[in-house]
Amino acid sequence: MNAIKLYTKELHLHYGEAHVLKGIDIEVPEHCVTALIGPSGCGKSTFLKTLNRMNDAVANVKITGEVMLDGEDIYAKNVDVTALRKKVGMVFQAPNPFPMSIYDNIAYGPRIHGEKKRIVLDEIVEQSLRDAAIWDEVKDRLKKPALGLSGGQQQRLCIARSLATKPELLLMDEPTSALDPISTSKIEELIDELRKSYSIVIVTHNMQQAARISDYTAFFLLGDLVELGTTGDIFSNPKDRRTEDYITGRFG
Amino acid sequence: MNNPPLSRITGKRRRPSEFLLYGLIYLLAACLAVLVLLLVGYILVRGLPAITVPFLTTAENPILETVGIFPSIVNTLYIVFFALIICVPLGVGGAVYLSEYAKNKKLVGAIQFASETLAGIPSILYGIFGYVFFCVLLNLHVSLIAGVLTLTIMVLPIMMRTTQEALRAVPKAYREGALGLGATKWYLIRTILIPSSLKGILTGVILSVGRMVSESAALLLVAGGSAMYMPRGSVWEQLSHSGSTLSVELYRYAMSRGDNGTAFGIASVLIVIVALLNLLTRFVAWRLNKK
Repeated sequence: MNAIKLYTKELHLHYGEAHVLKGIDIEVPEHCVTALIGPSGCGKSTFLKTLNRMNDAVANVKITGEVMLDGEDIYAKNVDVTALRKKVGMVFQAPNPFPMSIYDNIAYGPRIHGEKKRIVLDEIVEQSLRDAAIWDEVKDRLKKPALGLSGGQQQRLCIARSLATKPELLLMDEPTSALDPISTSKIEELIDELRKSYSIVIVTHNMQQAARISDYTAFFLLGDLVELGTTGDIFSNPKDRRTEDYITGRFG
Repeated sequence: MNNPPLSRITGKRRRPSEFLLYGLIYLLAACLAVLVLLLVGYILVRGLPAITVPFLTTAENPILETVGIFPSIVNTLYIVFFALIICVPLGVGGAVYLSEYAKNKKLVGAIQFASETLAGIPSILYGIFGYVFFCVLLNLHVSLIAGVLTLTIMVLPIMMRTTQEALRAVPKAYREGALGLGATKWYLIRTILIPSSLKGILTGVILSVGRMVSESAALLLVAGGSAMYMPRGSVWEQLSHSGSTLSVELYRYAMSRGDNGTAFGIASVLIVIVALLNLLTRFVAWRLNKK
């Protein structure tokens, strides 16, 4: 097994009265794809958002427990959230390119972190777009608005935008749920490629997708982490009855 | 076998109710267009004969009994320009604070209620307030600068309101995307929120300009009711003297002198100025968007 990139211990999240995450202990290994599966409302997206502190801005959220990234607690008082989010990139459910050019979308992250030199930015933009397998489709229209791209292209652009800050961990929240099958398979191929250089945590509603692309699978139910194991084990030999029921489609 | 006749989709039929509704909508639209054209047309027809080169380029001379509105044109532009310089940053800043930073919901609600109320009260109240506060208390006398400040507080609610609406319309996904990349709040505001709200902010500017150019009652009190001298001295000197804007002049000519020809001439100039200011605002927006 690869080294552990991130782990959580006794992670609880309360949203007002609701107890959304009930003591999650999970380990995310390096250079692997970890899939989070489970029925809607089980807390997997919320869990994903605690990993780069995107819940910070939400009112009435209380988080306790540990989230350790490379040995540092990301909820410690002296954490620089900007630096954290540079290290932990995020791709959202619906493609959300900014209303600016393709180039400026990719350069957005590096610019936040102080990169101003044109030559460096040019290089980052090209490399990120290449890594996200969209360079050939957009290289002649970098100055054109990103909103003119198709949905599938927009999502790959958003992945490229995340890659541009050179993250180490990539969080993906159902990145293909708004896309057609062809765009979906392109993104799955891309994820397969990205695992070589990045650690990936992906939330998906699509069981086949989890089986196809992930090395580890975590099954969430009602705020609990029911089972975590290699994807092979979870899908062919689940230990918990509830996991088996969910995977075989008896509920969810 | 006897097949039923095929239904045809060609040969467009008018459904009576649809037809009626379309007719009504077109009629209303036509009424509106005719009304605007009539109004503008009437003003221009009555006003254009009064517009001559001396009318536009000189001051009124009571001895020679010539009429000129150049000082009022300058006063109007000064007041609009300086009031915008103050109220756009204030209004946009206030709106950004209220919608992005303010945590206390009650306070935000109270400020919003107050600004909505302020947007609705008659302008003469601003005039009295401006007179007592700016002219007397702050010792600015009846002057253009007092007019600028009075109009600033008068249009501030408009600026704030339209900017707030525009900020609220920025998709949540943009915020998430930017924050997810590590953007600070201020960076997000600067690079995404303000640029995306530019159209709304500009609507606020256009509405504000309209309100300022058309204002007469309040300015009569705080900025003065006549403009007899050609502008002279530094900008600051001009601002510290009293002077009338075009709307005030219009009122003066029409009401106290019954000189409707001149009044319509001024009205024509006002229409042209408002149209030009709107075009200028759009041009600025277009340039900013291109950048």
